[in-house]
Amino acid sequence: MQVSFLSPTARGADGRASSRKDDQDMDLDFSDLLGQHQTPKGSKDFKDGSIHVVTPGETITSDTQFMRGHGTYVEQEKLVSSVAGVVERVNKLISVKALNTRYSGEIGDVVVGRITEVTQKRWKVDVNGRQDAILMLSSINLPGGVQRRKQESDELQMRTFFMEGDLVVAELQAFFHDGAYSLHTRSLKYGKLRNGSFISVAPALVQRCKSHFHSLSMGVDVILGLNGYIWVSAYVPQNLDEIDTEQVYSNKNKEDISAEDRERIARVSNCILALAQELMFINDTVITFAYEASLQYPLKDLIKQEVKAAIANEAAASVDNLRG
Amino acid sequence: MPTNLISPAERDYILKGVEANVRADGRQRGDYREVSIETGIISQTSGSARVKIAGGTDMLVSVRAEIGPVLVDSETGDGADKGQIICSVECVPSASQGWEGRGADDVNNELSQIMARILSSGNAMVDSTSTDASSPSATSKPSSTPSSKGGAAGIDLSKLCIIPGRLCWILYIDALILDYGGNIIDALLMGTRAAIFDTQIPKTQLQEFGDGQFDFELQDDTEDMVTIEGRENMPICVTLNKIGARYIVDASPLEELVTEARLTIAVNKYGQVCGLQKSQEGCMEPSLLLEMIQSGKTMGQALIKQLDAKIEAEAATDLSMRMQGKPPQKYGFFAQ
Amino acid sequence: MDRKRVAGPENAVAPLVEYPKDQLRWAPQQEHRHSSKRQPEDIRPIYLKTGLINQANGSAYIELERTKIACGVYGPRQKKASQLSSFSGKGTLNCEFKFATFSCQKRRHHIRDAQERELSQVLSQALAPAVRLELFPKSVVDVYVTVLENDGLAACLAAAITCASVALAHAGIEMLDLVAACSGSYMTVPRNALGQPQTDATTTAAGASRDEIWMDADLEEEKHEDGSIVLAYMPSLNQVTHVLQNGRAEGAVISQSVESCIEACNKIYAVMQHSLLESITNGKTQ
Repeated sequence: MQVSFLSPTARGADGRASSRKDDQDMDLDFSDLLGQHQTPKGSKDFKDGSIHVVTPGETITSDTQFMRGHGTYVEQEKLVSSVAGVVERVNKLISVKALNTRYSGEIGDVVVGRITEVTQKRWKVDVNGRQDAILMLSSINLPGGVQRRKQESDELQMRTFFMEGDLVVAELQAFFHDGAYSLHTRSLKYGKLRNGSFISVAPALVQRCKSHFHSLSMGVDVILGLNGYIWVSAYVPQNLDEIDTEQVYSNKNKEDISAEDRERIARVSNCILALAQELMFINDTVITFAYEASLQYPLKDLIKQEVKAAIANEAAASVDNLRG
Repeated sequence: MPTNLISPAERDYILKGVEANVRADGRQRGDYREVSIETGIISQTSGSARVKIAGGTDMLVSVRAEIGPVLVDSETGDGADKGQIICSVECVPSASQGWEGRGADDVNNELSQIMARILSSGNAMVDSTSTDASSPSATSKPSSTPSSKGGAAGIDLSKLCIIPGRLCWILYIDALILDYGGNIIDALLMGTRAAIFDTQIPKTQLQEFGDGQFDFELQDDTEDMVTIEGRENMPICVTLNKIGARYIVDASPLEELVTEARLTIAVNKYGQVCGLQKSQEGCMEPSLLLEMIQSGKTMGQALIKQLDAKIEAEAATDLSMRMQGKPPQKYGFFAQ
Repeated sequence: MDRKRVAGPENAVAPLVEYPKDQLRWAPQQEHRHSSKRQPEDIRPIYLKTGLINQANGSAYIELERTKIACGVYGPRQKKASQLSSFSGKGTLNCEFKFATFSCQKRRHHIRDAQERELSQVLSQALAPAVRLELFPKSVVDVYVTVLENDGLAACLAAAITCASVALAHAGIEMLDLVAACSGSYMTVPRNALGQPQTDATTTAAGASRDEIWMDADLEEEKHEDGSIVLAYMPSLNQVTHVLQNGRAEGAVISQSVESCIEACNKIYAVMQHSLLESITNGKTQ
């Protein structure tokens, strides 16, 4: 049996292992976070597309023509940041996105969540947000047909649909007046998660894409929840017409997940965690690049810090190549 | 993230994965995660170590030597010439949601009791004359005088006595669990071994004034400190988690939720079992129990060897830094 | 500052206890155990009776010479609101292990100490595999064990597990099997060719001693042990539900002690069955 005992190494501000001496160089590099591989210096001018990092209380601009967005407030006609993060500007709207924060949802987001409580006509779902999200009994597809109406008996057997601990993928449908998210699973692509394993990354790293359901070429399905919860599972052929609606709420994994399937799932999971460790954006392309880069290492080495860093670096290089 | 919830599908996936020898993070059943260890990072202590298991678990173990009265068994008179070891484990509320308020009390108590049982119970003292590395097979019982009872897991407690019947060194081993990522017990004992190896206590000189009056003098020469006698005989732990019909080492938090029965095996470097404890609400067949003890023993011995190599390497680096007149480089909490 | 201990004068010295030669303390000798003339593998005679506590749904009392334990079982009953933290499809087994204040050599406190809390946990872990908790969701089964007289900690824990398991069965709670438990102590016994009790243990060289496993050791024997093991076992299902060992021992000794404990558990099982059958035939079940 082999265990590697390491000495700790200092973690540099750029998210990569570096010696302590480099810490004095306070130039922060968040280029990985934004998927841009250039080295911006701490310029206060965000018009040229470079990164502007602020801390709470720091004045972003005193120009009154801008509008105040999330993570900012106005004090004495100045726009001041209220979180530590990166300044983002859309036309005249300025907001600050915190680097490490809970998920703040937007309608239409695909999220992965875990049922924490079953109450009257609703489930409470942990989605890494400020409050538990709510999944109403009326917002799910009942077994036996998409158009079936809710009956009283359904209310009594809510645990046969979703139980505490179950993982679901759902879409953010609306906000309640208190800010809680209302979810729905009224589509066959949403619902209970099976055949795989769960990992969690910082919500800010998951890139908003057209689709968050991916069947990767190596035969692994990935659901990238915008709340940072990610589900990696064995490939299941999707034919939305032929799905057995009775099976939607089954807890049974499919029988034939081979050891090779499991290894691929573990490899993909580790690649995603490697990208997260190096603060890189996560989308299907990057995951594929990371997976290819990981193939030169044996599976069990992928939990090692330096291997993770190497994989993420290689994936970053591939992204750069793609951009030309 | 609610910490104690798992879906039936995940449970099944982990169970079958253990059966197929592919765990969710790609490890095999007998694979440990990377462990990083650093000793001597807290100056207020006599010895300290920080242990991190890649993937979460993070803890700080400190050893503090203080002078206190000996603890004498009123009936047998045992313990008059012995030092003491007192263990305590505390899980900080910031480490896990389940540990806020009084939530950690049971965990703290369980871990403290396990530590105390392994480190300061039974007659686990190894007679240093009869056992050396060349003859590990020699049954290294202490000489069978009843009064030799009470040796703690290899540490020679009689060397910690300052004035017999009055004063001794008390080693307070305090562990602080800073982050939870599974497999706390193994990390705890690794950290304790590292911290004890790092521990140095001042020499004491006994002075007799006649008339049965004794006093002692502490030598405050920092260059001339002593290490803990018998520290190499301290055991470490291997925790095996029974999932289905198989068992795994170094479980992640999700795997710990699936675990039916957990067996913690304390082993010293001679391959002797120094403690055994089952936990969780499951059971196992006697044949599996014996098999688990056997493999725990083998793994534990290998683990100690590698851990010692790491501790020695670090001690050597520190020493060479000191020889050059520089302070040893410690990352402490700047480490990743 | 330790406020629990009586603070003597600053330069107080603990008295050196010296025993007169004719009042030698008992020391382990070959084929000479402390209580009666037991062989190493012999356990003490067990007196086990159900239905001691009328208020409880089930109860049992166990006596192994000077070890005396009473156990009451309440439930399954509705969990209190404070215990209902989250829904669980399984019932809870709540065990409380308490030494009576007068049961040990030193006076125990009324409040549960760290050791009692840990033993409670061990007790519940040892019994849980046998109890069909999945049959009573939202309910709790309370098991209260009171040690009236403690004659050896390991043996006491083992007896408590045995007793609690019988009390659970007596309460009519569905179980997969009874849990029997037994303790064993690792002893270093001085070897004496003449078979005479050897009085001065210090003259014995390490080579002239022998390792033995003494089952169900009492307090006096426990003081001389090198380590001990407590094993809880379901005899019909052939499953170990708990194992707790301390002290240092070779792997072979461990295996041997596990086997000896299982053997002893099978004997205890017969006593448990007998006492339960008796309670039923006497129509004393409530």
